[in-house]
Amino acid sequence: MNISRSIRFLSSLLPMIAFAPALAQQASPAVTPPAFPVAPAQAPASPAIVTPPPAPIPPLSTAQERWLNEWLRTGATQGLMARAKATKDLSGEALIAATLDRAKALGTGRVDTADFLQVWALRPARIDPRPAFARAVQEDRLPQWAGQLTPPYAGYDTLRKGLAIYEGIRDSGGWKTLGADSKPDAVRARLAIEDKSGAAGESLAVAIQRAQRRYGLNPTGQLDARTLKELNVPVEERIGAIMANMERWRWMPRNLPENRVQVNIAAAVLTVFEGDRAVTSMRAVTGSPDNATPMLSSNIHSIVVNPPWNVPASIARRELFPKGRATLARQGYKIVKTEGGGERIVQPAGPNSALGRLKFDFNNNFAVYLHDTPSRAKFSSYDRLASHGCVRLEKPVPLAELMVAGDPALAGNIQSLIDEGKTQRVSLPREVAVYLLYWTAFASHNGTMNFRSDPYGWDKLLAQKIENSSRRVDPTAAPSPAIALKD
Amino acid sequence: MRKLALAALTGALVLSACGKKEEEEQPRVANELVEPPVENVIIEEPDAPLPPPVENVVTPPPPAPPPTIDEQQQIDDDAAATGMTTRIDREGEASQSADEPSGTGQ
Repeated sequence: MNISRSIRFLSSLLPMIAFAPALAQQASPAVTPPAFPVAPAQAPASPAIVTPPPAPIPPLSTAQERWLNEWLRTGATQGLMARAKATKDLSGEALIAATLDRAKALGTGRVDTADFLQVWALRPARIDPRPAFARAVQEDRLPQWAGQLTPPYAGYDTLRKGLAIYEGIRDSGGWKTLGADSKPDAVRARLAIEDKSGAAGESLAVAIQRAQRRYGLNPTGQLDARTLKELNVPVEERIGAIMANMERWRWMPRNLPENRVQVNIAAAVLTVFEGDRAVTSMRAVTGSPDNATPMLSSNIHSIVVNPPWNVPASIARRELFPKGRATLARQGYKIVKTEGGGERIVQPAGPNSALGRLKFDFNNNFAVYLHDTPSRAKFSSYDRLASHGCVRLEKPVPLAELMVAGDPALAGNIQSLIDEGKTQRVSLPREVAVYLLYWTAFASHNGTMNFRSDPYGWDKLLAQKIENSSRRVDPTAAPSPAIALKD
Repeated sequence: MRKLALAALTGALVLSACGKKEEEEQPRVANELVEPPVENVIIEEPDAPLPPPVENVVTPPPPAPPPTIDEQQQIDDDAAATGMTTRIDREGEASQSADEPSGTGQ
């Protein structure tokens, strides 16, 4: 990692980070009015004192009705349903209702937040699409209005393109199952269905390596069991994963802070963004399937140097108390009395502390944070979903240096603070936005799709919820047996 | 008496010759008895572990050296994995009215 470059980055980054919450609440600077009012991504719903009457929709022209009916039939291309069905043209109130429902689905997701898991704590802003729609009808600007409904990010658009490609693959019959005894030509043909970037004359091992990287596997170049398993995932399941990830994109704020830390929980990687440009990244260890890391957004406000570990009660009860007090004492744990008369376990700061030497604090309801770890070996593994829900960092000291670079008293001194051995909290000169996200389908820069296994089973669950919601409220949605089987 | 002795000698020679003939044929019979199992083994040869070399045969590719990924490439890959957040300009994508032919529905 280029530290000097990173420090330069933070010098420019931090002033902007200071305004991150404000940025998150500002409307797009685009000339065209936003398709719907942009609310803060995580802002709690403010109590409505007066409910204004719904904005009246001007009468639709024949051309507008025709355009809207055509537009409504494109729901499958946006991943709102597995398959569309032929429907008669709608008109009048039915057309307006279907249009507003579709606008809401594209803007904030098909699935109602009431149907979210608790750990899907990245909630979309509430929107009322009616006023912007009324304005678009009045000004005869329906295509512009519709074009602004979806997330304005390349991540969403590349998934939309990927969805079209995989639906094409599905409609052409999908792919054949490979085995360990499959012939090289069959393996090459299978790889080429998804990956067109192979060079002429390239060895099979190199082509397999590229596939393994697309699946987050160890790139051995061998057609091993895990590679075969990924290659044999049915195309319908890949389509379901793309749909689920497009839905998650719709939960994202429309104006992300330009500078932020993003973690992909499913891939166990962390990236620091300056603007929309990634300036550094590192491996991470995220929650095991039994201890899912929640999806959320927050702001890192401080770093604890040489942190003790106040063991959560659930971990103490499940994993530590059963070892016995003598063993715990021998391993350096301390048992302290609580005010309520109970006991809790504390692991003092030190080289063997489970939190390592640095802990990055941000407010959340799940008591998770980013932290260092003494267990470094896991970072060389390709299976890094192994924590209790926190995010362990491969390079915590450089990350901390990035965050304190704006403070001359702290810049370059993180290691010195660690070496002092004292536990101390360092407030950041500017809070840094952090997003814990769950991406299992994403495109490379050349458009080739990457997939991660669905370690928490959230894709299948979400695809099912999308499908159920679409069937319930969208007249253009057809039942999809392939998705329905994902329970 | 002499005739009797001559006849006995002749008979003994005949018996002796038969006996010798029997002894000579014994190994040949034994060989024939052994041969069928040998033929059976030959019949089972298609299951032998070494198939003839064929073009496009099932052989695992040799271990490949790990791919060389420079730091910037790794950062870009990780950025794609954590969310490709490059902003898209929707203005250029939709600058028509409902009266114009549209690309929706395709």
